Amino acid sequence: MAAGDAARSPGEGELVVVGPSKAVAQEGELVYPGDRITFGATAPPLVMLGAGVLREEGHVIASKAGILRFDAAERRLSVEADQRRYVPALGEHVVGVVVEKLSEEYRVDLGCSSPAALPVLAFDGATRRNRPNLHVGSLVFARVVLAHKDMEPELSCAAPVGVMSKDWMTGQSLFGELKGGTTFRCSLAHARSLAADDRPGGELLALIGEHVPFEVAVGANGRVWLNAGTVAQLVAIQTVVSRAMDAPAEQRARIVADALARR
Amino acid sequence: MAADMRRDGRSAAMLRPMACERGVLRRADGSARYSHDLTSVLVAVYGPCEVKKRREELERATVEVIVRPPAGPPRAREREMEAQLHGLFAPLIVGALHPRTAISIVVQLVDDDGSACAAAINATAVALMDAGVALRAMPSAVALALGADGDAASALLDPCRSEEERAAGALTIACARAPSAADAPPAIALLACAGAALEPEQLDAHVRLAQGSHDLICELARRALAEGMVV
Repeated sequence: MAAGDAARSPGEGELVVVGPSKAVAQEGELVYPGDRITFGATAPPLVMLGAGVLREEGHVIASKAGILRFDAAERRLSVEADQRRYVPALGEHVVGVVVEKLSEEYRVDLGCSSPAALPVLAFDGATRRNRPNLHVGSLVFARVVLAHKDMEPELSCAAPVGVMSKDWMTGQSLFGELKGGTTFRCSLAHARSLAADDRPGGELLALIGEHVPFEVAVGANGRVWLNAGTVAQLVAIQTVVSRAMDAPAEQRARIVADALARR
Repeated sequence: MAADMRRDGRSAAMLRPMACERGVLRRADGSARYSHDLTSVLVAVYGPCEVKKRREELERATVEVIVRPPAGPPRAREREMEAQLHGLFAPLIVGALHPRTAISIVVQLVDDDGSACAAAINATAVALMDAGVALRAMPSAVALALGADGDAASALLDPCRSEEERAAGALTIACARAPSAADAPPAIALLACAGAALEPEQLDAHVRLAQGSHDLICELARRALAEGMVV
């Protein structure tokens, strides 16, 4: 299979899962641990193995129960599992809680196996003398800049390359401390779909925004921070988000309208 | 009643009705309830999470198993079950992905009407998959109550408690399929035999009985996992 082929038709019967059903699986179908994944009858092309896929005895197998994804552009094969425990990945945006304050860094809990380090100067425009002062219990919205299985994760609140950076003093920077509002936990799959506009579920926040103005920060680690003008609005929004996430896509607009129309 | 019929109306090589549900606990990273008729097991999986310093392993995740009986403190039987579950799942879990972390498995036996260890293995497999812990294969397990002569023909598959008590011995067999053998019968992942001495041919016949149930049990697990999967 040539690279051009894959770009034209990712998963048009080309991705074969040799499981007990021995079915030809489309991209987006369910696979289970031990299911073998091959590319039809053609010679195996060069693919990257992402999360949930591993090489075993010369075969590519799924190692998680989840949805098979093949990113044709990056040629990356992965299995997206519906899990609750966060494992940091480079570049992901997360909502964390400061658990310890050291002289050079904050230790931030992301819900993963070890606390992450957030250097005290990793804010746009921060200097030794003029830097944000977070406390134990403060919430921060940050991005993961170091994620390796053998090292503890590192965070940064500075804007990434290509994004206009605003000084932390202005209070308009993309990342930084989250003041006020409330947080709640959801599964990682729900967080992913909330944050992605181009996938089912991503339209939910926009739908709510048509009724009530609010601020939101969705962490890939399954923590969602919300803020709105009044506490009543905040409670209403949180209820709607948790209810609508479990509902079928076509009912979401109605759920949102029913709950928020009067506010 | 036919002579080869068991007290609950099953034939010797028939499984009891099984049920499986995933995600039954809200606060665990993964959980499952599994029942073989009246035998019921609840499993919670946490991880990869923080590990105690002295149990830390530099190259792989530490797999911890705790088994709790339906009532009272854990005894030798639960300790043995912990060892069997650890022996089965520690190599199945791809621990190298998360070094210096712990994956802890907590098994609560809810009702024990025989085949508790097999039910615990089946429940743990589903709970691990629910938690998104990487596994090399999907395991399944069944118990067998051995007849006095040790022949597979007199063995009872998936015995209930009274059958276990009257049996000459007990066998718990877990199977898993290697990726290169998708069409072959599944390989043995755990074999725990107590009470009776078996000839090699007799053991083979018992193993074949267990292998025959593998696909059925895995299919039940798959169906439970597909339920409510966020696409």
